[in-house]
Amino acid sequence: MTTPVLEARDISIAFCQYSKGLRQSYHKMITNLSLDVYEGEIVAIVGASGSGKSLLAHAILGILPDNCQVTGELYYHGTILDKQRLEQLRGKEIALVPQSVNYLDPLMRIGKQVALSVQDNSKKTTLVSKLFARFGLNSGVERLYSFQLSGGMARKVLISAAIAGNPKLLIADEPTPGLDEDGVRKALSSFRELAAQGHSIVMITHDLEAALAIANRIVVFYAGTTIEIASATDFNGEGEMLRHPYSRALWQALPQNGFTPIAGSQPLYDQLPNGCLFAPRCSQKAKACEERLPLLRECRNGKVRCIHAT
Amino acid sequence: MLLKGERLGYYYDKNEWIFRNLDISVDSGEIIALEAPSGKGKTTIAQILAGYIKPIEGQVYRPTFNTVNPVQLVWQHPEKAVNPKWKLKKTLTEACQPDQSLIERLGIEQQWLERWPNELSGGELQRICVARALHKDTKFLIADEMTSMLDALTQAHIWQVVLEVVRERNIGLIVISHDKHLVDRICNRVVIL
Repeated sequence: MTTPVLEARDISIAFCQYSKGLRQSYHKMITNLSLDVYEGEIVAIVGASGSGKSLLAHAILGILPDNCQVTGELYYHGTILDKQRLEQLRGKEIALVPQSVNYLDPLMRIGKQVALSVQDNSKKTTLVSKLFARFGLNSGVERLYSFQLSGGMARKVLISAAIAGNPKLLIADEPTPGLDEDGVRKALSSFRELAAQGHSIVMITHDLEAALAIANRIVVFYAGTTIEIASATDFNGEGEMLRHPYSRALWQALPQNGFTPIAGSQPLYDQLPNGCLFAPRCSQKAKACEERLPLLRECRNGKVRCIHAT
Repeated sequence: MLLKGERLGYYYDKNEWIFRNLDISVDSGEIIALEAPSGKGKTTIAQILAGYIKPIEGQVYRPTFNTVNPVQLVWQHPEKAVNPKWKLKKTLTEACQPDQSLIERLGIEQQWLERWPNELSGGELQRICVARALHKDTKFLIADEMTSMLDALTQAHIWQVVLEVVRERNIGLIVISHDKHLVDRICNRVVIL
């Protein structure tokens, strides 16, 4: 078997906060998260907001704030990805599509900003115009500042900036919200093109539909941990191929399927249950579910963190 | 009761109208969708109809009011629509005290109200924003990409409650969304810009 381009093993992330006076407390935001991405593959991480998806992206790029504690290991092409190596690769081989327009420099014109990530100096201006033309941004946009962009335009600019450097591994944090249908199609097709050229993409999204449209595999996230890794084709029919009850519920909640919600909400990060994180909302809950967090185990060519899955 | 804009026009840059001669209306109990590519002024129309900004051309006919605006807007990013320095209890009751039953149906938990906005997720904040917008005098609700940042389960939950309330109270609803399946599922009529 080939080695994955990126592998995360048992990543946990905790935040240190001052709770009262000088007393500090640790909040665990991500628990024992694992995932891998192979060459030419698109993996989508799907989960509710507040499930810790963006933290993972920031952990991969090493841009978490200082009061964050990360445990577990990251491997890039089979060797450990430490701080030093990351600094060399970041922005060149590994690029991020950040979540919000706030990541742009408010004082630099858009065209110049995107040109910063182009490696080949001779192509700087032509490549930027080519990318903008492709996303339907007119040439005037290059001269604008970030506050002058609409939500959808900003998203297109962020995607252009990330793919301008031709990265080997692209981490896209919520690349689709705010885009119209055509914009989504163009963004997704440029991701697919990159993947076809052997690049790898991790797409982080709450939008299951967009994820299914391009990803090979789907990693389902709940309350800061991986609960299922499934092939995109498993999301089909009534969801009978899916392994975890949360994944099934998510699939059935889409407007084109049942549009049916389930009761309750994701637990807050400082009030996680001891056992399975989904147990309080689960219809299959048994006594064993509440005792300890189930391990992520192999199940029908995928992985699942549920003791009932077969 | 009708919420109506006639021959509306607006620009941010004098040389470039984002729309002109736009007619839009929604009746009580009606659910319409507003569709357009990004940057065509959907959010601007929402703000004009809600009375936050004045159109440069045209007229808006909206219900009159004394204290609380009967045309309420729910935004795409709830974290930007709440005061970061208020605990959520204060935000929830900003217009007036919403029905206890509505709070329960939206699944808003009592302990969330004692927290700061940065401690809750987008889905949790958005439920609070929806409860705040659906006060007793709300006649029209404009949902500007209300659930586009939320996962499918939270989206289904919020819409289920909003659609029930809209039906019960005969509220007119404008849905701004890029999600075709969502629009097909819930709207009576689509306005394309």
